[in-house]
Amino acid sequence: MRTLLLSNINMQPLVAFLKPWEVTCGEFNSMLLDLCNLISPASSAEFTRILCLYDSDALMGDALYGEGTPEQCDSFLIALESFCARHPEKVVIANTFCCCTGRWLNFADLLHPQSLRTAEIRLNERLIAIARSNRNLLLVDTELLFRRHGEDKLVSRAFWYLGRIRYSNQMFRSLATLVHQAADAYANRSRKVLILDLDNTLWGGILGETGPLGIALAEDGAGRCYRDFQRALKAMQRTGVLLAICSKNNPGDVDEVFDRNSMMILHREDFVCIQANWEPKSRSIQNIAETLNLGTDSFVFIDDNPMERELVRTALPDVAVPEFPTRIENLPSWFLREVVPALLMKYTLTAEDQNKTRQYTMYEKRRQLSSTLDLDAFLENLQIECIFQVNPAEQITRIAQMTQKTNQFNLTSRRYEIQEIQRFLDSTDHAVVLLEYKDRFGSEGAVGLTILDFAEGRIDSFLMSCRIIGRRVEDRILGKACELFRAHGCSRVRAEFIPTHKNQQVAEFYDSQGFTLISEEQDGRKIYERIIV
Amino acid sequence: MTTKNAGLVKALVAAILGLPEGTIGADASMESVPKWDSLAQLNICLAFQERFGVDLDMETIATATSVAKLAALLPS
Repeated sequence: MRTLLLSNINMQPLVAFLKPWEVTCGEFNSMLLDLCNLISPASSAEFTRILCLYDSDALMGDALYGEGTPEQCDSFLIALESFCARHPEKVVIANTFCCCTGRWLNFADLLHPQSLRTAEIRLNERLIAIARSNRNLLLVDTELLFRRHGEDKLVSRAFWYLGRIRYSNQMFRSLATLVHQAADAYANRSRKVLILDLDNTLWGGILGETGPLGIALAEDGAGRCYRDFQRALKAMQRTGVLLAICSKNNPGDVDEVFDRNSMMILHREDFVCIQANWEPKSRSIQNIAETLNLGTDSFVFIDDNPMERELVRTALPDVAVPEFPTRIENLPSWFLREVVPALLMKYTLTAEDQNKTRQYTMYEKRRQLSSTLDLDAFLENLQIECIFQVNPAEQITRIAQMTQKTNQFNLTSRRYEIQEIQRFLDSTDHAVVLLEYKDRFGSEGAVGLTILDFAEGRIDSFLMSCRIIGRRVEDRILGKACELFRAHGCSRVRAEFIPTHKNQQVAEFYDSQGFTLISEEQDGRKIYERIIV
Repeated sequence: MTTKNAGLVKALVAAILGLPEGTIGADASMESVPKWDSLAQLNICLAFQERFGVDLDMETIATATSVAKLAALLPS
């Protein structure tokens, strides 16, 4: 993947900070021309990622009070929108409008209907509307950086007049981080589960010494730091992050906190798994992995104790274990500024994200039921209902997310971005089939997916969330796939298994489904076929 | 100019120009190093500001175009 950096000023110093990305800088001030021209570096197939990191002040030009929307900004928005629509295969990253030097008329700027400030707000509204209708456009909010570090630290006047370089290296560094994080979030490279210690992490003090009402958790003083931290955790949970507890405490004491301490923001049902015991923490974290059926590489572990952090890092190197702030007043902001952007960022939220905790809690209830019944009785008791949607365009974000995040029950592990899914949806030779699962405990949402290629009579992708493994739902998805192949006149279906280090459990899947093995490659890839007439 | 300061500046210039550290001598300047052009000078000064916490003015950025002149800007 190669990246082209476009701007209306000299952004060349950013290139070094964007490593390891391979970035080419466009011609000086070529952004508008490059976006408009049908034959330009930006339009060429060589670049799959286009950065439009422009300077708002320069784009505003000489426009000031009473002159309406500056013409250049208008042209830029039109050019950007048509470029994104023309190139759904490219990811475009642009910053929001943020004037850093031109707002010196404080009061007039607030009140005048055509002030720079008003123009900036209107331009950003249009920019956001373009991003909503073009999923390949990612916006990075540069105003966040100005709020955090301040204009004096980020803008360099000497370099501006000498070489049209607007920013200091601190800004280039922060901007590069922001761009990297946006791209990671867009590709769904965030982690799924946040595991928390309790004493001096979720609350102040030692529960075993002070009792459930003696821990520091209040609306004032240090107790408020922990409450604000819990508020931040609750907000993250609403974006689909699962919370779990791993603490060395008596389970009865922890229960008492949930039952009796009214200052807790987080309640028992906010956690998908609670490990309160005296086992080594690496053991408890493995228990969480088994309970949730997730790999430890999707875990983040937060603990104030440096020794516990080190033990977990050593025993489970896949778990992300960030350092803990030295000053307790920094706990909430440290979490939101350092941990979330680096490990838990989401670019868009799907309905599944917002209900994830409930879904995993239902998973745990079903698991308890399954241990009391044999498989057939258990499945009957669940009253499973499968709803199939063929080419559901409105679910495109979720579909891309599933191809990127599903590791275990995934036959080919092909990772697709939104624009690639769009091509499948648009093609008459393909079908994207999404399964929504329901049973008597509730809906799991969209959890199964298969992508079919009718031209080649081939199953391109076949995957399922690990939450519904073991309920024979895969049989139904395959049945639906065969039905669609038949409707498109296919008499035989080809399927593949491509091994990864995580999908061993489905290595024999097609063998068990009546497919015939045709060939097996050196790398373990297996090709199957089944007659379906 | 202290040897220590010159050493720090040589390393910084070499890193920005993407050259092995040994190739930048204490007498290196914009005139003697082909890769050290006016854009490289700006990049060197941006990095210099951040690395040593000094705020360079326009005049200095335009004229401090050698290892010796840059090193002289640092407290000895």
